[in-house]
Amino acid sequence: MDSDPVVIPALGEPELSLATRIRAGDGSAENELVNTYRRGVFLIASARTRDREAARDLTQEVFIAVLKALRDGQLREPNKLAAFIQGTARNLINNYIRTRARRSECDLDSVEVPSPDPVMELESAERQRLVGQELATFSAADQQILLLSLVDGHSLAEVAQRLKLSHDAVRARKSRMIKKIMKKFGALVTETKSRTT
Amino acid sequence: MDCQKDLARDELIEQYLNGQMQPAEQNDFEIHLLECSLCQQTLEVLQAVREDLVQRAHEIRSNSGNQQVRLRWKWAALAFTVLMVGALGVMQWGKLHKKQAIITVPPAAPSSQSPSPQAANSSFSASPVNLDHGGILASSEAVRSGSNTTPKSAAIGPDHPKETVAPVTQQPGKTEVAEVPPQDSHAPQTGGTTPPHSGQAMPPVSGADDAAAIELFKLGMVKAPPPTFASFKAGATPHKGDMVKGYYPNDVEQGHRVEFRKAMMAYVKKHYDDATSLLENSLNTEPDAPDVNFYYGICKLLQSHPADSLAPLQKAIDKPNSTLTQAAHFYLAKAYLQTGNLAKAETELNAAAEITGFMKEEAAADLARLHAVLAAK
Repeated sequence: MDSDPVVIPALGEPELSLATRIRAGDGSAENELVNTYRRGVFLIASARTRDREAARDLTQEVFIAVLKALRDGQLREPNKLAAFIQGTARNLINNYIRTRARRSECDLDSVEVPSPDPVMELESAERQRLVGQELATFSAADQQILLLSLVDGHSLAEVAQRLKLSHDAVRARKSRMIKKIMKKFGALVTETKSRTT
Repeated sequence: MDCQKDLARDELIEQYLNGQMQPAEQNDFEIHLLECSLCQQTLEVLQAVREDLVQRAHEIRSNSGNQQVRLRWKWAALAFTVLMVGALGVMQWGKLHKKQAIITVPPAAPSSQSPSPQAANSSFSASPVNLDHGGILASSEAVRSGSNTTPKSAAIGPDHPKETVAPVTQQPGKTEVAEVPPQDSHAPQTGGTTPPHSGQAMPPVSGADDAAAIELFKLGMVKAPPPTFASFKAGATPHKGDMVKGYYPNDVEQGHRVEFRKAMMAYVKKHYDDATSLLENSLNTEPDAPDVNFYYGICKLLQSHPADSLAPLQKAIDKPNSTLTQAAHFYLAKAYLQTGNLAKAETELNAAAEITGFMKEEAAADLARLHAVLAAK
């Protein structure tokens, strides 16, 4: 697989202990890092690739690369662990998008990455189902607004023009729907996060 | 990275999801995202929403399209319905306009102090009623009085422009509402009235006189007689094409008695106002023509001006050998009934009943009814 070299940012002071522990071979520190950043990395990967399976694979690849780099002491700026992880993720995701590779050719033998949390997977699927049910209760016009803005990427002005509604009306309706969904599923997401971390 | 405001966060994440951020901005947001649980939560929900929308995109789009089509059909159906209702309304309005459905308070039946026909004549004020094509008739109240006479309009009809003045005399210190017999919704109002065209004040009538007044009211009802095209030319028979073409001959402008023909066409169309004007023009050139006078009198009767119909109808009778003589007697009787002159009404009905013709039986029947009323009084 053709891939760009992974740029590893320096490790920052706040994460020094975690990075140091990982460099010292502390397995629990590696688990802690993965649990802390896994959800964010997965979200970035799924947002960029729009493919949950690929995002799951990429998340593993990102943490393999990060852990390898941390073990090798490649972090030069200790206060930028998040930026280091994001940079690693960005490069791998860009590589994936460029080559459409489904799996990394990285040697996994030397690094053990925790498998995806089955509870998180189950709850994610359940959330997806519930969100679908909730969306189905919206009017066709409201669903159209969400589709045009969230999927097609149209601006509110464009959505308003297409649906022959006022800009303010589209904004208000969309905001109301998002707020309603967030209110209903925010708690579920928070609960999921607290369980996974 | 300001994600504390809901709206700002939602818009930020939406931009991110749609790939609408600049690379540097995107890097900054992703670094923030890795450590902001609130943004992660929002992104996760919006991603779930997005995925569901992607899965159902076709359905949503087709639903929207179908809805638009349904909406268009609904609007089309609504517009069609409105048009149909409007058209029906216009047609109905036109019909009713022609019908001149008028109701007026009927005359007071003669009181017990005036049993003779002559007395009855002076106490009767028949309402001009046009029953042509079922004009709407109704009456709701009658105010009786003994001294002051007040004209009261009782024209009823959704769009009838005319009002027929019915007399209402007010008795000092006494005002009551007469009941309309329930068996006859067309029953007239009764009360101490003055004939509308005589100006005479009438004494109050008793309850027993109400039935007689109702009967007189019915006798005064008028149906428009059929038009005639027999006299367009002197001594001519009806033009065949007139009937075939539904009284709309093409050569109307070129024929004899143009004004009268036009008047007859207006009459056929029940445009009695127009017919009256045209007949007045005809009378200028043919003041003694029985048919012109007859239909002029009929139009006046149908326009609720029975007093104005007396002279032309009488003129139609005065000409001998007129085919309209019997009908003129009959409708003159109606005019007298409406103006409250029962004696003359009786005379005219008698005359109509004595002439052999298609109205003989009807005139005889009306005469019998009038006799019954007079006898009851």
